[in-house]
Amino acid sequence: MNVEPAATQCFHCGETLPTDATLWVQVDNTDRAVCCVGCQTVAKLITGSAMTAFYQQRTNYPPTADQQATQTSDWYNDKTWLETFAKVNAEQQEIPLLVTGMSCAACAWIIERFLREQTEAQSIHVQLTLGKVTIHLHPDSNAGPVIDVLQRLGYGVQPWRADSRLQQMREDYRRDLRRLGIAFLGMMQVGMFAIALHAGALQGIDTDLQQLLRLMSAPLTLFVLAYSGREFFERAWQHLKHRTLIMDSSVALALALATAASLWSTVQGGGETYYDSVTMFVFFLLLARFLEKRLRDRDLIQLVQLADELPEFVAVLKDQQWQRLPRHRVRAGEIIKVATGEAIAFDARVTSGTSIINESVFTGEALPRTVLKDDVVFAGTVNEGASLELIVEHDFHESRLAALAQDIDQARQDKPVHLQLIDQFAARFIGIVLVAAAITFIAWWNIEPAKAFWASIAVLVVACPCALSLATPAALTAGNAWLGRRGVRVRSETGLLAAATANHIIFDKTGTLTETRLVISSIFTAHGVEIDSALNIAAALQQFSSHPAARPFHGIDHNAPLRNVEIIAAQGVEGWDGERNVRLRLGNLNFCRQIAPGLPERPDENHYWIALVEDGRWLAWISLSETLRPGTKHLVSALKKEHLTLEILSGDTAPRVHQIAADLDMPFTAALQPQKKLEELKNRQNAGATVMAIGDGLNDAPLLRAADVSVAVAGATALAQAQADFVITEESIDRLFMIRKAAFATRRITRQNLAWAAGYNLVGLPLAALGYVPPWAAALGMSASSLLVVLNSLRLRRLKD
Amino acid sequence: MESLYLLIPIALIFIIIVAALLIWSINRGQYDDLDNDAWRALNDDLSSKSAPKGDNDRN
Repeated sequence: MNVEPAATQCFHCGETLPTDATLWVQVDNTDRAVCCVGCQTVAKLITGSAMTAFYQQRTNYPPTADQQATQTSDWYNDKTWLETFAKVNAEQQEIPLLVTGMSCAACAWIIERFLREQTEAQSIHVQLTLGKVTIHLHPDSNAGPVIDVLQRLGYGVQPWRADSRLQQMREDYRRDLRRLGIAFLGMMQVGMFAIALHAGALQGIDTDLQQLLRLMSAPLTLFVLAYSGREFFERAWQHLKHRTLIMDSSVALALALATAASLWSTVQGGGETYYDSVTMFVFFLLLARFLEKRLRDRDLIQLVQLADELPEFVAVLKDQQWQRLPRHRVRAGEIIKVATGEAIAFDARVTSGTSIINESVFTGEALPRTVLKDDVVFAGTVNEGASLELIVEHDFHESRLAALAQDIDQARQDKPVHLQLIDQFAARFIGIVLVAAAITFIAWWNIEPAKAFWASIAVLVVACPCALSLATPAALTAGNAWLGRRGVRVRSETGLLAAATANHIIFDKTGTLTETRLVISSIFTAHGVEIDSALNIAAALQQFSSHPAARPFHGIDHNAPLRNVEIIAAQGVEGWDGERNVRLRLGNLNFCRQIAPGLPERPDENHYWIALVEDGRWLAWISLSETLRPGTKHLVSALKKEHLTLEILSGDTAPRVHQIAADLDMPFTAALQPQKKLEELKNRQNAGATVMAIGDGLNDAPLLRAADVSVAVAGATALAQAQADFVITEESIDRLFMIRKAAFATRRITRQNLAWAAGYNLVGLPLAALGYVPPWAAALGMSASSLLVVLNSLRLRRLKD
Repeated sequence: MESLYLLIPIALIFIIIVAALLIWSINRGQYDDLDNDAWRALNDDLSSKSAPKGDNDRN
């Protein structure tokens, strides 16, 4: 048997292994280290089912197996609920599911295999890009076991609900693909005829044959124009009605004139034709737009659905009984129960129970808030303690979460637009070209009328904005693809252009600069108490608690003999020392002072403090603090060297933000509500800064939406990801360097492209106006310059890391 | 050379057939998920038992 040499990453999910990793799984006779029991279980499940091929074929890590995943599979047995999104009839049930965590095609494979071999599913259809799995079942079978298998594999499962936006997106995708395909076929066929015509022009060709080739090219070109190229004309026309010129105006004009001239030649039986140039131009423009759009929409689909992360079902008290009801049927005034680990679906007030609520998505605070009877909790927060009974205060659409979603919609409209620049430029450009063509025509009309038409056509063809209109999209597409291969998903059209101009960077704190995990940072002990013995007792007490503040203690060895350990919700932990028979307490100030009145105040406000006391005597104050994400310090110091303005805007309290900010030597503003964050951003923008915002939580979403360019970090909430231009998918925040690198490279290439296109026009235009450029040379030059722009953009692929 | 007068129009007919096939297959949803299919084609292990495409994703 082989043991894998010192692995640092979990074999299953790729997370960094804890230093004292002791969990293993045997794969192909080799012991592989895994990070947690969940991953071990899934890996055993996979290898035990002879599906080890999954590990060879995968190109990306599957999701970390979540041990505490809320088990919801039983709900799927409820046929009446199932019917709200599935098709159920006498012959079969068709159940569409939104499955999260499918990272590469190997996931699709393993899902299909497992479901087919271990469940009653009749057929399984996985659509990776949509994150959708469709399952067909016999009408008498239950869907629960199928969902259970998916959840045990570590994937998240939700009902797939038809969404008109997604429907529209898919229709658009198919339409674009049809247009692109037709343009390609047309380009190849017309190009083939054109080669014959060009060769004929050199070697001599039968006039009849020449005419036949032209007659064949004409309908093909017209069809490509009408079918594939119509969007240029439509958009140009829409803008013309509003008396504005855009890039598409000049594209449409060039296409129309070149086609008209070609048709004229064909009818006349002499002169030049440009059918090949027209089709090629249409194809390349559509291709650039198609690729760019596909990249952008890729994960939007999942995000659209995931933005709604609230539970599907809520336990509601009806007729003295708890019933699971679909969320949208619950009304204000009803009593609901929220179990441990569940998200709360409404703004509500506690009627019974005490618990801790994680509100980090709203406030940026890492530690959960304690709630007692009559406290108010908000939709979108997570219950991390005991189960709670709540009375619903408002319908969902009046909740704070819904208000936040409205803020985002508002912020969307305020976003600065960067691509319009090129359209403004195009408007002037097309004006100049039209004037030049008109002057050429008039001048030649007076000198030599026969040449007037062809010379002005040559001017228009030479000045055709192909290269110009391809310059930016081609470079952006290549730059975005480069980033995509390096752990950064690009979600916006023009994010890269804006990223290159950003001079002010706003960071969120919790979850962005820091990890949400806490570590023990310092210990103050009472006189005569050893630090080690205090830690020993604290670790022994904390081992029974799953509170986030207890987790840093779980790795510490302890041997204190304890008995009767009791966890008191929202207060702390109490236990008895078995040898000395004294009561021990660990927890907050008031709780500990009850048995040890001499306990001093917290040493400072910068940390989370936990007190340790025994009967009549205090032992220690232990502080917990957040840790910076790996690479954060390096990133900040490197960014400062580039003379960027950096700052922290956080929802957390000032002392704690101060601590992190001091560590990184950055200015900060603390205790900001989402709305305030947005105002701060506007102030910076009004002062002339181009702002890049980096965040992760729900409370950052409006900020990310309104910033000139925005980045969501790994683990960001779906709502935040949906607003960001870039999403970093790796743990380390230093992918920001990659974004900046790609941004600068893309800007450089774009400028080269624009310079080339403009220079070519500047040289070509006067020559064409003077009649030195035969139309065939103009057409050739046009195609060649477009090609050059595309090839130049492809150089971005070879950019070094 | 006379054969060209026949062959060139035939090429036009071919292109119409190919274009029609292309549009038909796009509308059937055969190009909706290129990543998965690209991978599946290389993996013999997976039998062709999975669901028919196109009919079951109209929602």
